[in-house]
Amino acid sequence: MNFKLVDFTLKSLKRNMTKKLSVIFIFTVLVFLLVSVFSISSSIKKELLISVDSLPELIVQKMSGGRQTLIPVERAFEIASIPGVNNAYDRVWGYYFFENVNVNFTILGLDFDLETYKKKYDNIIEMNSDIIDTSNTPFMIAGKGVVEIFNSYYNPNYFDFIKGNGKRMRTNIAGSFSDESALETNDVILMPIQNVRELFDIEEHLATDIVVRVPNPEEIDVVKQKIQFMYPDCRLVSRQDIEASYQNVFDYKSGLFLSLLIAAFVAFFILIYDKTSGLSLEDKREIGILKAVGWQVENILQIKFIEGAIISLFSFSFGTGLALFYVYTLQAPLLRNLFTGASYLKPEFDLLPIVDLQVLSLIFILTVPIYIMATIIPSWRAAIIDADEVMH
Amino acid sequence: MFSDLTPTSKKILLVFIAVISFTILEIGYYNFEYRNLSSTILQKKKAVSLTQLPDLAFVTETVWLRHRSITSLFSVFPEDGNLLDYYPSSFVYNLQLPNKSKQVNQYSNEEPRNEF
Repeated sequence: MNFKLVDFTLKSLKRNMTKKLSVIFIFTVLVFLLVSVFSISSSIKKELLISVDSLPELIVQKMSGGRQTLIPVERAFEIASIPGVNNAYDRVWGYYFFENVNVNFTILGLDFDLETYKKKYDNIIEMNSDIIDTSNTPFMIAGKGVVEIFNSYYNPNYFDFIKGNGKRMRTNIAGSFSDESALETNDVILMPIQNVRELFDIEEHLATDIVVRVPNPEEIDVVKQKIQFMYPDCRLVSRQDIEASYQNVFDYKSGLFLSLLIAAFVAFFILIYDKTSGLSLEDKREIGILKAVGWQVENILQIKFIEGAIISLFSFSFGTGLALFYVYTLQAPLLRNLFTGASYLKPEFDLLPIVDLQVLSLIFILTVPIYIMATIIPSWRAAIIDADEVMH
Repeated sequence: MFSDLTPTSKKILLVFIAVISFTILEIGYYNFEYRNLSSTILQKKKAVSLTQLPDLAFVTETVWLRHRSITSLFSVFPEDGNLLDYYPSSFVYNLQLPNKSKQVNQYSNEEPRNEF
């Protein structure tokens, strides 16, 4: 590379710095916004995808009149006898609306007497005491968001749930989930299954839905069809359905924001169009003088290429660097609200630092080469005309 | 080769190289950070395997809450259909629907299978 040309270009850039600053600013802001939105989106998507393997392969819901209704528990035994099914069990869970702060808690029934439970999950739950009395008073293990709501608006030690018949059910807070799982468990309350049945008025032979475990992924579709055949009134949600819907939802949300960025895109492309449609008189005169003093067309194209590459690469790197810092170190204030709800029970979470190189490459290809081309083409047009004509 | 450059050009080139290097280092740093999060990721997986609930606790004011497929008893639209409610974007179009219809149609004309 001829460093004298680089030197000439850099000095030319310094002379015209005020003119180039507006281009650098717009370019940087555009890259910053694009990288920020895609980084938040891919970070949340990653969060969902790393936990998706822990979900059951199939969820069976009974439908009646187009709505979900309670499912008989006995169906779990029949489903468990299908070849290929490792385990099928009923779940009792639902939502409890806490009117004071306009939030829903997700209450999940669990059999706390199972020994495997404590051994397996003790490091994600912080218990307030070592011994849990499962026989007498109802108790719960709550997510961080729920505990904070109780501390602020109720009692830090217990909560009075109102049952279907209007009576109160005093429930002690026995423990809470760890901070690391806040994004998954912020609104969750675990309670003994008999207490959840009492609270939601669900009889012993009924459940909310049935969870089906199928170890062999090749058999999931067959098992799904068999269950559908056995129970035509049931709807089945597979893990693949959930994964596909994540993709839809985040594409939709990113797309929604991108549509807002159209104005910025239009401004950027008008700028490029303006550059391609013709150079300013000053630029043309400069090219004319260079040709007159003996510069070749290729030399002129080289300096224009270096100029375009320096401006676009600088803006792209600066915008990307700022965006990554804003998203992963500052945790994307304001912008991440696009992806969360409007309720008070917002989980405090850290975005996973995932740098999606595919997205960065896509943004790079869409901006940097286009800008360089937009710089070179009009210069080439001016450079092939006779020097005398250009100067006039 | 850098001796061909004037001090002013050297300064500009230095800023340019510094910004690009900083961005590359930043990407490397965040990738390194992510690899160190294995215990946090394990805790998240354990929490999900305990609750068995999909989706994140982002939105607690919609009819379906944790996931639009896991509906409450009072929801209207989320029972499949083309338009699926998704707060705050109002709805998303269900791309899975044509495949589902095919699967149902495939078996609708067949004789009942006794081995089930």
